[in-house]
Amino acid sequence: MELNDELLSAYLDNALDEDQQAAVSAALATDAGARLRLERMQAADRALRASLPLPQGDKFEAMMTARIQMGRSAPRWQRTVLPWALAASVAGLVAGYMLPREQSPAGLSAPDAVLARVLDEAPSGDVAGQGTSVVLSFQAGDGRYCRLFRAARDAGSGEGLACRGSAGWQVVAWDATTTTSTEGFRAAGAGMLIDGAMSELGGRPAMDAGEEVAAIKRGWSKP
Amino acid sequence: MSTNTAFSQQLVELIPRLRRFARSLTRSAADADDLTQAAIERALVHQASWKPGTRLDSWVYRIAQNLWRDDLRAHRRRAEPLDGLEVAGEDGRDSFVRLIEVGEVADSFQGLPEEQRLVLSLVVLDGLSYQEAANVLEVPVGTVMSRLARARGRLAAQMPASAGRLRAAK
Repeated sequence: MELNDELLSAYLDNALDEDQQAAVSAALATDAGARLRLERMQAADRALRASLPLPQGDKFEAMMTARIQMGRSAPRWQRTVLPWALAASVAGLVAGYMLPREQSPAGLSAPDAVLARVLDEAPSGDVAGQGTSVVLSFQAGDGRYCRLFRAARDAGSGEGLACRGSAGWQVVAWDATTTTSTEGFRAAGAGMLIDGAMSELGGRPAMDAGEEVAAIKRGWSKP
Repeated sequence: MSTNTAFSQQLVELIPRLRRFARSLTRSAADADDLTQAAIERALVHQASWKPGTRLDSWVYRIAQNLWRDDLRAHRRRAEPLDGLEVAGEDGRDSFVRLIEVGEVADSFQGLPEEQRLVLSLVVLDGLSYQEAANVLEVPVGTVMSRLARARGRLAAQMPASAGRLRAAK
């Protein structure tokens, strides 16, 4: 019996029928070369298992677990903000962004001090805000003022959407386009998250510079 | 337990194996996690087309393969080498030999064609039967056997010369 690699490999997996397994066993007893090849295959299997251990117990797994538990019907704003909330908590540098404690559509998280100041005071296009700047402002369908911002932090950078309700600015969506954490990740289909959140807000066209300056002066209260 | 709860629970349990399968497919830890995330999203959306009682892993692996073929490969970022090269189950005595083997085999694995990496991943890493692997890959069982033999033959040939003999002497 010629012990080729296909037979040896199937023998290793116990995938041959009983007679064939027995025949290979018998042939191996008198074929030292085949025994050596089989042993090397076994050693390669062991080394392969050791080189690709199961990735588990990290933030990515926690994020995916949370995502699955939300189910397919999770509101889009939750799906959108979740990756950033976890990416931020990984790095532990942007304490303001936390997972919503309850499934309350009223708000997700308060921005940190730098972002809050930029949202309050900076006109769109002003880049003085320590890596944080506003791209545009608009009024959502429900009347809230919302601002699309860019932020670069040690935890990563990306675009976000904040809306001002009765409790101040709330980050309603974040799309981390880059992260510096080794455990960081980029949402599949990134770039569409913010677009989706904006269309869900049913916003009006972006405010022009004059309207924006007036709103900043009023502290973003309605005229 | 409702069908939904059972589905969610099985999908959560599958995450580590799905990520490893995705790493075999993409050869990059970052791409693998992107792919894992996309596959989970698609599995949640198409949950109704999974038949309870059939293997969820096979179904989700097929989703991941299709996503990789259709979309993600075209847009993938620069390939990064797999990280997290860890040696599981050290027993001290032969850890040096083991480390060499692991390094060699990891390199060899990366160099194999995709079809061979996947069959190794499913059978050797995941413990699927030949029939189950054939279902995931949508090829005949005979093809699984021959791909596996070629893949193992190549890995075995690149193992340090001492590997087989040391094992034999133990």
